[in-house]
Amino acid sequence: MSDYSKEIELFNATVEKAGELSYIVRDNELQRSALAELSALAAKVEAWKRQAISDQNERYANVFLGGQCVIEALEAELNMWLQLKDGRPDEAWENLVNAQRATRNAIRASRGFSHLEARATRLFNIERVVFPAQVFLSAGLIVRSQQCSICGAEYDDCPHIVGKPYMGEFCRCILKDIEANHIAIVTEPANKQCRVVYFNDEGGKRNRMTWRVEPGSIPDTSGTERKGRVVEGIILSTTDVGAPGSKR
Amino acid sequence: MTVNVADYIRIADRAADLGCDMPTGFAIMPENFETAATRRELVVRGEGSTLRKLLRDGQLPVQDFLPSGERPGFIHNKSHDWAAFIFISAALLSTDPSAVTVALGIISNYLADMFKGTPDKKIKLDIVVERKGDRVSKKLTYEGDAVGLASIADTILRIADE
Repeated sequence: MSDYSKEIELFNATVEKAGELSYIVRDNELQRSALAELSALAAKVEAWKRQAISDQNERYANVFLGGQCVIEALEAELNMWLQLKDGRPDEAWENLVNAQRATRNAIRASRGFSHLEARATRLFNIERVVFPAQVFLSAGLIVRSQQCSICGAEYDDCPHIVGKPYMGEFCRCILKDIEANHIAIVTEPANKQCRVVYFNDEGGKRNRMTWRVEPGSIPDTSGTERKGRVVEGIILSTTDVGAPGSKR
Repeated sequence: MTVNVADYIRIADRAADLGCDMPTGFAIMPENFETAATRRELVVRGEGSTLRKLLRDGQLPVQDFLPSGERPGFIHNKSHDWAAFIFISAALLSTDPSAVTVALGIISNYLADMFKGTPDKKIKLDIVVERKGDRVSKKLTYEGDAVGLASIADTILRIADE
C-alpha cells in the first residue's frame, strides 16, 4: 500500500507556489499560470484519490479529498483577485465565498489540513475589509425526504453524518420532495452566496456591490399594494453542498 | 453568548392532543409543536436528524414524538449555519441528570469540529426542559459558539429542579 509521499510532495510544492501568488498586487499572468498548474494538479489528485479508494485506504482517500478542497479554495481565491482587478466584484464575491467554503471543507476532510484555520481567518478578514457589508437572504424549505449521499438510504435511517468524510467523499443530504416555505433577510446566513444583488433606486437599479446605478428596473411581482423596496437577489445556490466541484 | 429562558406549553398534554408518543429521554422537538393542527403537519429542523444520530451514537436515550413508522417533514432554514430544537424529559432528568452534560458535550464537540475554519460563527440550540416536579416545561434558547454550549448544563438542571 502506497504512502503517497511523492504525490504529497508534488501537491505541497504546487500549492505553496500558488499561495504565494494569492495577493491582489501579484501579476495577472503569473496568477493565470498558477491557475493552469492547479487545474493540472486537480486531475492528478483525482487520480490519486481513485487509487486510494481502490486500495480501500480511507485515510489517504480523505487526504486527497482535502487536497481537492485546497485546490478549489486556491483557484477561487486567485480568481477573486483577478476579477477584482478586472472590475467584476460580484463574481469576486462568489469566489470569496467558494474559497471560504472549500477551506472549511479541507479542514473537515483530514486532520492534516488543520493548519488552514489561519487561511480561513485570512479569508474572513478579506470579506470584512475588501467587500462592503451584504444583505443576506435565507430560503426556508420543507422537505419530505432526505437521502444520504453515501449510502442512498433515508438519512434518518443510516449511520452517516452530514459533513463528515467517508472514503474520499463528504456525506451530504440530498433533499427530495421540496416545498418552498419562506424567504427572509438574515444576518447569519448558512450560505453567503444568497444575498441582495440589486435594488430599485432613483434612475434605475443599484448594484449593492459596486453601488453603481444601472439602467432598467426590477419589476414588482408581489401583487400587493404594500410599499417597500423591490430587490433582486440570489435565494438558492448549490455551492453550499460541500462537495468539491459543485457549481452554482 | 446569550441564554434566554421562557415559558413553554405542557409537553405531555400537547403530545396527547396530537396523538403523539411521550418521550422519556431526549427527543427532537418539532418546530411547530405548539401550533400544528394535526401530527401530520409536524416539521423538525433538518439538523435534528444529525443530532438524533449523535446522541444515539453516544448511547443516550432518544425517542420520537411521532409513533413508529411515521416521519415528520424537515425544515431546512438557511438563516443559521446550525440550529436545532430538542426536548429533555422530566423522567430522564430524574433518573440520569448526567446525561445532560454528556449530550451537550457530544453536540459541542461535533459543532466545534464542523465549524473549524468558520471564524465568529454562531449556532442556535433551543431546548425544552420538562421540570421534574410539576412537569411544566420551559424553553431555553442558547445562541453563541459551539464551545460555550457545554456551559448551559447547570442552567438546564436548575430549571429541572425549580
